[in-house]
Amino acid sequence: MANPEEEEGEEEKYESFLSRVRRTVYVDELTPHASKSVVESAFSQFGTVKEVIFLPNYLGPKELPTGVLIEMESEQKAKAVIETVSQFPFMVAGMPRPVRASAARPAMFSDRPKKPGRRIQFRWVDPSDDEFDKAQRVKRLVRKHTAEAAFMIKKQLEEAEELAKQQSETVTTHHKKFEMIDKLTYDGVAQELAGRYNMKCGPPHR
Amino acid sequence: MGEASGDEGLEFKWGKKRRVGGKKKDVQFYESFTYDGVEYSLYDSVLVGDANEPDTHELFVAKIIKIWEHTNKRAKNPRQVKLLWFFRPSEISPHLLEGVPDVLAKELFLASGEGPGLANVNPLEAICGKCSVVCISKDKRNPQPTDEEIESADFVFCRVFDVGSSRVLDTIDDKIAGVDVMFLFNRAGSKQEATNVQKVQEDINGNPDTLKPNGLPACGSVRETEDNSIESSDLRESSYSREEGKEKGHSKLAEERSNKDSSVQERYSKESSGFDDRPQKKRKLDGSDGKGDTGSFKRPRDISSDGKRGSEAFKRPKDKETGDEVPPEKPSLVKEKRDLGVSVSEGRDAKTAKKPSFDGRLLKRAEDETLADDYERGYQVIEVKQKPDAVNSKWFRPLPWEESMREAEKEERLVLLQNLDPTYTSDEVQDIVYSALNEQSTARMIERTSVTISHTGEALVIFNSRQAAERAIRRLDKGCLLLSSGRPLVAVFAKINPPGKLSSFYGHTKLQKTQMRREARDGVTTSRGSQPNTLEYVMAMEWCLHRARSDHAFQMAIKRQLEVKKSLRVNFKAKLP
Repeated sequence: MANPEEEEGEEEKYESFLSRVRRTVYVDELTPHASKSVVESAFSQFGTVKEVIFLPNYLGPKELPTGVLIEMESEQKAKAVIETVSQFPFMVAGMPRPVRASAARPAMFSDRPKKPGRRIQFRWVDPSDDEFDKAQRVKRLVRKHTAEAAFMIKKQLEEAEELAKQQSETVTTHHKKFEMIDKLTYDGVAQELAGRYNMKCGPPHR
Repeated sequence: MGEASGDEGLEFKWGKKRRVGGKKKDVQFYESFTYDGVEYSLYDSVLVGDANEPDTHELFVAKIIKIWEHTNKRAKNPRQVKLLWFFRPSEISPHLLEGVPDVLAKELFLASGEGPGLANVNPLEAICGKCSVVCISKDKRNPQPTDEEIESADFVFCRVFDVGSSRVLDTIDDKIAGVDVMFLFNRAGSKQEATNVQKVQEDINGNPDTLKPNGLPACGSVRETEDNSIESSDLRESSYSREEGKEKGHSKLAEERSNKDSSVQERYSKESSGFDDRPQKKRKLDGSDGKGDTGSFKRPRDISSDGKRGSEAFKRPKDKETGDEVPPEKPSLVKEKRDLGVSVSEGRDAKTAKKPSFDGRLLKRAEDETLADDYERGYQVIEVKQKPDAVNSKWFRPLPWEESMREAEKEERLVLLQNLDPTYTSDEVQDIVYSALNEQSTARMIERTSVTISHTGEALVIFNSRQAAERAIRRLDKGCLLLSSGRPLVAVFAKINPPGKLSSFYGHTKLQKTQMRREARDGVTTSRGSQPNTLEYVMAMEWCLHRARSDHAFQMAIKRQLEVKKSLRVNFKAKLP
């Protein structure tokens, strides 16, 4: 069994890991185009950023937005980041889709130390054991769940795509409107019309 | 073994017998019973109805600390249980709870101390159902539960309520109501560990009996006198059980010493003597089935070269070892045994190597215990092994995981392991793969984020060869490897996204120049920028809405999944036939 010194070392490591977790903010819905320096400078207005870890997306769909772990210098700073970002839309490296911030959890770190004093046990289940069927069913269930989750994520992404398309259309129509108005005032057409109808018009652009 | 009572409304069957007691040896103690289709064991947490208000939904929570039946006379209530109570916060007067910090929603207080309300004897039929109470006390003696366990438990407890002084206490004594607290904490390893050696202690000490108002006073007092007399008979029983315990202790110790040879021999011969012919035949089958890999040849060498870390190289390799130690000059025998250990065939060899508990009758108990130890020690094995091999397989240290993973995927060595406990670490996964599947590997736990299922863990595992990966997958598929959290592992070949930056990201639109003058390159748009009267604020809000909706849907789906999983929980503890 692990001797007491080893265990203490483990506990210490785990404790320091936990404090690191508390200092870290989990930010997602980030564009994959954002580089590490961009993220760093974006969040450095909240305080010093100690570390930025990008969470790789190996298994999820390709279009999934990136997640990132940002370690601040203290727990309060981290909390401040989360609060601000949750209250006001904070956009990084593009707009208008804001990023989302929440407190980091140990399970988000793939290189975490193990919980001290935990021992895992296992056994192979005999097919004649009545638990065997149940276990096989659980295994199928796990596969089913994974598929379900993947499907939900896919749906999410499709909706996001829809929304983005909608928004870009809105933006372009707005832009067209503004352009049109600008053009009219520039050409003097607006002034003329105003004169005709005995109305006031905004400052002429010449 | 059971005595079914056919004349009752709800079906009933006794489980394991413990011992006989009572002045006239007319009391039979039990360890478990099945009532109304549910199996209850000692130290289970149960729900009990209120005798004064039979139809209320307000049920009490208690732990069973003794089960018995009067065998001679048809007393009013021949089958009885002694229940140690839990207090709900609502059952304790508010002023007693005043100074108590942080009472959680599903927190209970375990009764302790001495006085009325600690524990009661009740007829067994008062039990209405089982519930799960997880102990979240940070006491060193308490095996810490996982977050998942805490969430899925019906109740939690970490403090006691002293019925004598009517106070909530944080520290827990060594004994409550005569029961060693180890039984009241979460169960650590296999149940058998708690068997004889410890129960002996518990039985010897006295049980102060107390009465809760709605118990059965008359029966209660009778109980008390009988309890005392039971103790004397306990002592007799205990000496017997102690012997058994010693034998187990001996085999435990034997494993811990580094005198592999003799002890291994002993154990091995003991086991084989307990075996039927059947396993022998199976072993031969495996031998012929075996596809001797070069991989398997490496293993025994490693073991012996590992020197005197001794007993660690036990558990699964234990069979291999004997093959090695004993007759190195009998290659066929060695090969057979080696194949056994290396476990090339799927579930079957797993059966023979690990199923003495099912086949061997004499040493059943002892073996279960040592097997459980084996598994645990198997965990230790990895810590020793990994280092030398790790250096070999990754020949330039700085090689990042990503590259080796992609390479592995190309060569079809990459496996996705699912249904792990989400709190496992990459190292632990490697250890599990080693001890359960006998393969060296490197693993990486996948992070649990907002887009992954939070109640289950996954890991990407790189094996050393395609065959190894295939083998592992096949074994996990055909057979069933159960981890201590009751999760059977699932494995498939992993398919990962090709590398490279994703080109599409929804939600970022290029705003025309005539609009806001902001550099997309600069990227720092702060809260000041998005004032509520700008277009981009409105659009940002739309995104927030979209996110909230999809989040909610996802979480609901996950919650539903968790419930389904709970209902299909598999028992980790091996049930002895």
